[in-house]
Amino acid sequence: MVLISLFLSLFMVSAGAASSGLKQAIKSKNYQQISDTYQKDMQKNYSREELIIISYSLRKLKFFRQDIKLNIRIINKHYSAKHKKLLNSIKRGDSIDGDDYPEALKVLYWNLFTSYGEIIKGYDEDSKLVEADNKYFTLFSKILSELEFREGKVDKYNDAIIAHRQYLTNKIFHFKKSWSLLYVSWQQDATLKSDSGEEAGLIVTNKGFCVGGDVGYENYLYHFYFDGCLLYGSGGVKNNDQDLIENYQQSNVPAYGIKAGPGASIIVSSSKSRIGIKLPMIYSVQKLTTPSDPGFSIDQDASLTFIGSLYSRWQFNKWYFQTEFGKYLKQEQTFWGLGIGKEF
Amino acid sequence: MNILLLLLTLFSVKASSYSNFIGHGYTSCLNCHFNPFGGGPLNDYGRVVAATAIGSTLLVSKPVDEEKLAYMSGFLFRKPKQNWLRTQLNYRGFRVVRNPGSTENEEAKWINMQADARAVLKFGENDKFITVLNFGYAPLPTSVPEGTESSEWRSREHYVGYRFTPKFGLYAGLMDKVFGIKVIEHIAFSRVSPQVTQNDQTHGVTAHYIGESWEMGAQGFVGNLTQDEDLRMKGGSFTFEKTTFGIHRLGASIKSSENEYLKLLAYSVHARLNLKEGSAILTELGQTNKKPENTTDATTERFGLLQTYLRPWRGTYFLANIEYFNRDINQDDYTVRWGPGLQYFMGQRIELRFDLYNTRSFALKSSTRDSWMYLLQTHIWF
Repeated sequence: MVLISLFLSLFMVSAGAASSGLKQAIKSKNYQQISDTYQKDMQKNYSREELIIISYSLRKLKFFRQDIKLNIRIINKHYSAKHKKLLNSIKRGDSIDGDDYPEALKVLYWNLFTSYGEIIKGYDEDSKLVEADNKYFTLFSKILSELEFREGKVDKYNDAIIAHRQYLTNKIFHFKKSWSLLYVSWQQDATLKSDSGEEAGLIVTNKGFCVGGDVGYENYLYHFYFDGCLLYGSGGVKNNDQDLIENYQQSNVPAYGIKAGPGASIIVSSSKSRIGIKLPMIYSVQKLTTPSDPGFSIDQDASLTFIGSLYSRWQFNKWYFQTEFGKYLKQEQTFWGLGIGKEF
Repeated sequence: MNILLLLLTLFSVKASSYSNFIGHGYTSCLNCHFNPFGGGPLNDYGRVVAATAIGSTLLVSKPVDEEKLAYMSGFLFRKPKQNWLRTQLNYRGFRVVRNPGSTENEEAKWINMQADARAVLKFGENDKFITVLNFGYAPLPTSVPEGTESSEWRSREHYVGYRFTPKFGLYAGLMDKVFGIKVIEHIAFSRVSPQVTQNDQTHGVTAHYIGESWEMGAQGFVGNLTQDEDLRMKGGSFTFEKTTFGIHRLGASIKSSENEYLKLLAYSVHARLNLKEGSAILTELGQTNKKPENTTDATTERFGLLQTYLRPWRGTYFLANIEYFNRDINQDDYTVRWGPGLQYFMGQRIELRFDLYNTRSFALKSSTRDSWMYLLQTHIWF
C-alpha cells in the first residue's frame, strides 16, 4: 500500500480524483478487476490518474503490451509537446538537461523501458519479434540515458536484457561439420579350432587410423551429431594356449573397415570443450591365415560390433583435439582413439 | 631393510597435487601450496580456492555465501587466530578392484594409502620463512614378506624455506624431487619411470625462481637419509616452465641420479594447457636411461602422459588418463594404459574419485587380452 501511495504521489495526483471503483480495487490489490474494467471499455476517456492505476495493474498482471499502449496514450495525451521536443533534441544530438522534463514523463519512459524489457525476457526463442521489441527497448534506454534518469538501474537492466538476448542467440542450433583423423586401436575375437573339437580363443589387437568426420547440430550447450570414419590398420595374433597347437602367430595382419554412429555431447566451457557419448558400430574386415598344421581352422567372430563410448573434445578455434574410449557391447574388448579435427 | 626401502621406493602411493588446476588459471603451484612445486600442505589462499572455486556447494546451505565458505576453509572450520602456525590432517584411501567382473580372477581390497598430520610454521613478511613438517602413514607394499619389521609411519617431508624475494626462494630438507608434471596418479609411468613418485622424496636443497612469464627450479639431492647409504639416489634435477599465450605452460625437466647399483638419467618435455572454466590438458613425454652398475647393459625407457580434464560444473571433473610406456626403446613392444575417470569435490574437504584403467600391450610376438582395474578413492582433509 505504501508502494502504491508513493507511486501515486509521484504523479502528484489527488486520490480523490480517481474513480472510486478503481481506487477501491487498487487498495485491495484487485488488479484483475481493474484490468477487466479496462477491457470492457478501453476507449473510455479515462483521467490521467485512472490510466496510471490501470497501467500499474496491467504491469502487475504482466500484460506488458497493453501497459505499453497505455503509457504511450498517457504521453500523447499529457506530455506530447515535451516528448516531441525530447525526440527532436536527441535526433539533432543536442545536449539534454533532464531537469527540463517532468519526473512523471521520465517514469513513463521507465515503464515503457521495463515493459519492453519484460516482453523480451519472456521470449524463450530468438525471432524477428525479439528484434522488433529490442528496437523500442533500446530507444527508451537511450532516452533514459539522455535524461540521466535512474542511470545505475538502467545499466543493470540493460545488461540483463543483453544477457537474455545472448542466451536466446546461443540456444539456436547451428549445422556443424568437421573432418577428423584418429589414431585408433581396436580388438577382434577369433577362435582356433581343431577337427577334434578343441578350441582356443584368440585376440587380435589392431592399431591404425580412422579418417572421417561428423555432421550435426550444435548450440551453446549441446552437440548432436553423426560421425563416421574409415578404419585402416593392422594387428597381430598369437595362440597363447600352446597345448592345442604349438605356435600359431601372425603379425601385421591388415584390417580395414568403417566406424559410424550417432553421438551427443554437452559443451562445458567457453572454449567449447565438450564431453559426450557415442554409440557407433564397427564393421571391420581382417582375414587371419588358416594354420599350416592340418586339422586346424580359424573361426572369426562377426565383424560387425556395437560400442558404447565416452567422447571428449577440446577446441582451439576451428581445430580440436579429441579422445574416445569405448567398450564393445556385451563383449570384453575395447576401442580407443585420439586425434585431431577441424571444423569447416 | 634395504630391500624393504627399495620396494617402498618402487611402490608409489600417490602424488598429491593438482596440476590440472591450470584450467582455473593457476599456472604456478606456489599460488596454493607452501611447496613451490606443489604437493603437501595448502597455504591459506589454497584453502580458500578449494572452498570457493574447486569444491561443489552440495553440502552448503543456499544461497551460497562464498565469503563464509572462505572463512570456514581453515583448519577446524574457522579462520586461524594467529599467523605463524598452520595445521592440516589428510587422509586418502581407496578400494582397488583388479579384473572386475571376472569370477575367477577378481581381486578387491581397501587400502589406507595416506594419513598425514601436517604443520607449517611461517614467519616474516609474506611468510618468507617457513618450516614444513609432514608425518604420516604409508602402507607397506604387498610384496613385503609378512612379519617384516618396519614402521608404516614416517616423515613424508620436512624442510625449511626462505624466500629472499617474492621471486626467489631456497628450500632445504626432505622434499619431493623436482621433475615434470606432478600428476595425481600414483602409478603414472611418467612418475614411476624417472623415480619421482610420492615416496621418492629426497634430502636436498631446492632453488625456486618465478619470473613474469616463466618459472624454474633446481635441486641438488643426496637421497633419502633414512635409507641405507648404498640405496640413496644422489644427484640433481632441473625443471623449467614458460607461460605461453598468457594461460598455458610449456616446460622441460632433466634429472640425473645414481646410487651404488644404478645410474639414472631422465628428461622430459611437458605442456599444461588451460582450456578455461576448469578444463585442461596435461601432457608429458620423456625418457629414462637406466644403467645398472657393473654392467654394460643400459636401457632407455620412454614414457608418455596425456591427461585431459573437463569440468561440466563446479566440483566435478571428467578425465581421461592416457599413458604410454616402452620399457626399452630398442624394442617395439609397448603398453598403453587408458582410463576414463571422474573426480568429484563434494565440498572443500571431501574428494571422491573413480578411475578405470584399461591396459593394453602391443607386442610383435604376443597378443594378450587387456587387463582392467578400477579405483574408488576417498580423500578427506581438515
